[in-house]
Amino acid sequence: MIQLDNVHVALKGFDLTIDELRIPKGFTVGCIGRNGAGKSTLIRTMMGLTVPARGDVLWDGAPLDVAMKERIGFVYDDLYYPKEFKVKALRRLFRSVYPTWNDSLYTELLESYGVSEKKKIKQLSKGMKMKTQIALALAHDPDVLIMDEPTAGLDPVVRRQFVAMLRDWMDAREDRTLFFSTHITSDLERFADYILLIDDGRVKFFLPIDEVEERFVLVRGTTNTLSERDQAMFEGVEWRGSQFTGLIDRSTHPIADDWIVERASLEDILYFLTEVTHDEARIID
Amino acid sequence: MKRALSIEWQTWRSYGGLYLLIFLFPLLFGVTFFGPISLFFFIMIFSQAWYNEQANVEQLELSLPVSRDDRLLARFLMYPMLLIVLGVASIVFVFILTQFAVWKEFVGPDQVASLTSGIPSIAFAWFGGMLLVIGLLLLVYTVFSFKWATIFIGVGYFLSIGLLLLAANVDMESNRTNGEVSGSIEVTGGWLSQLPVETAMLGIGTLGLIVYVVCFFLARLSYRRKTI
Repeated sequence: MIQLDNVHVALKGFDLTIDELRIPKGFTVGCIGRNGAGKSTLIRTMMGLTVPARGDVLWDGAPLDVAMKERIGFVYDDLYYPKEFKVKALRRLFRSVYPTWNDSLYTELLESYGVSEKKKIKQLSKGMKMKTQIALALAHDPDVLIMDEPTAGLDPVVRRQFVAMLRDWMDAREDRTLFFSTHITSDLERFADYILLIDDGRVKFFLPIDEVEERFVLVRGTTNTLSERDQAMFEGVEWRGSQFTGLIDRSTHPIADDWIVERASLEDILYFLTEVTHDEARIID
Repeated sequence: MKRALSIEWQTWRSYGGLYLLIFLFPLLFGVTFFGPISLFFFIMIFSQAWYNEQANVEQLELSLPVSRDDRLLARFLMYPMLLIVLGVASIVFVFILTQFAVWKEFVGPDQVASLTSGIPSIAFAWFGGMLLVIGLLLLVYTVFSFKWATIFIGVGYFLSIGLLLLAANVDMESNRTNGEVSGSIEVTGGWLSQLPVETAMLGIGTLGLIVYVVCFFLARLSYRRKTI
């Protein structure tokens, strides 16, 4: 389990505050939020790259150490290695630091992804860089996979292949954990167990995806059916002439009979919770 | 620690071909070997720092299973190790070259003599001096950024020249009129001139080593809290 308690990270012009967050072992957790919401900062904090001003980040009850890092695979939004280097330099680097490194698995993965080790990193496309990182992350058989915006910049076909591959990886062993940040919410609807929504450096909610789908609905109707009391219960609402579309948390508010109720996608939830009610900054329990 | 050194080594190894060219080029043209190695080292440090900062390599490296302390120690250990290896390699290289008559003619006999004389006495001072500059450079780069390291080396370069001229205050005129010709180098005038050459060399070498170690500990304090 990854545990964050009373964490405060202060960066130039941005701060991340997390009172309490428990990421359970054995599940896929999707972290969503707008660009600049704090997803990458959260990942860097979890990975020990960003040092919080206060608070604890614990992995299986202890601060992140070298032994724990051996069990983590990471994929970032870019391949952070000198662009002039050839891909084969990465194999040497990773092989020398991971005791569980599997050379033949790495070769197999690169071949299946069509990545040539003879190429320089700067010659790789965004998708190829991502696949290389995935191969690097998987070749030492990690228990936890941390991914920061891995699908950003990938075309829809590659994204689907990528999500399918992650699903296979999770299905292969029960104790594996996947933490996956993205602002492309449709990726997560296919396979996430939990959704963590971050906005403006704060956790809006962290809930099982079933509960998210159960609780949040879109309602549509005409404005003359709305009282002032009704308006206050929206998590977010958008007006178009005499029509409105709003997001409601069903667990706390009833829905009027004359409203049209629709399933809210993660994108709808993200939109209404972070854009429409941005100033209110409500936190959902 | 082995892993941290390995990370450091992989970077050096990937630049190997380029570095070899830079290293061999001035040597082949017969410049004294401490000069090219010094130049070579600063090119290496700067190119690495620049490439690393451009590619944000630290984000990847610090995600690997290596502690920050080990990572920094490896960085600080690699330079003295390479200085020793390259210093020894250069001496051997120059020695071999001096055995070839063609090269002697190409470079000139005076240059060959200057290349092969006085090596032990200045090697330690050179080693310490290099460590002093590299240590300060690594400290600035670790605590701040590549940009500040560049400014540091630029300002440091001009300051060093100025200070050396000021301290040495070599009275060339006086030497010429007295007709002093001796086996030892004696600098007249200024506080530096009061020191025997051997003592000055030992002092510079020791000072460099001490500064290098201090730089490591200062850099470590910052590196432990460094946020990416």
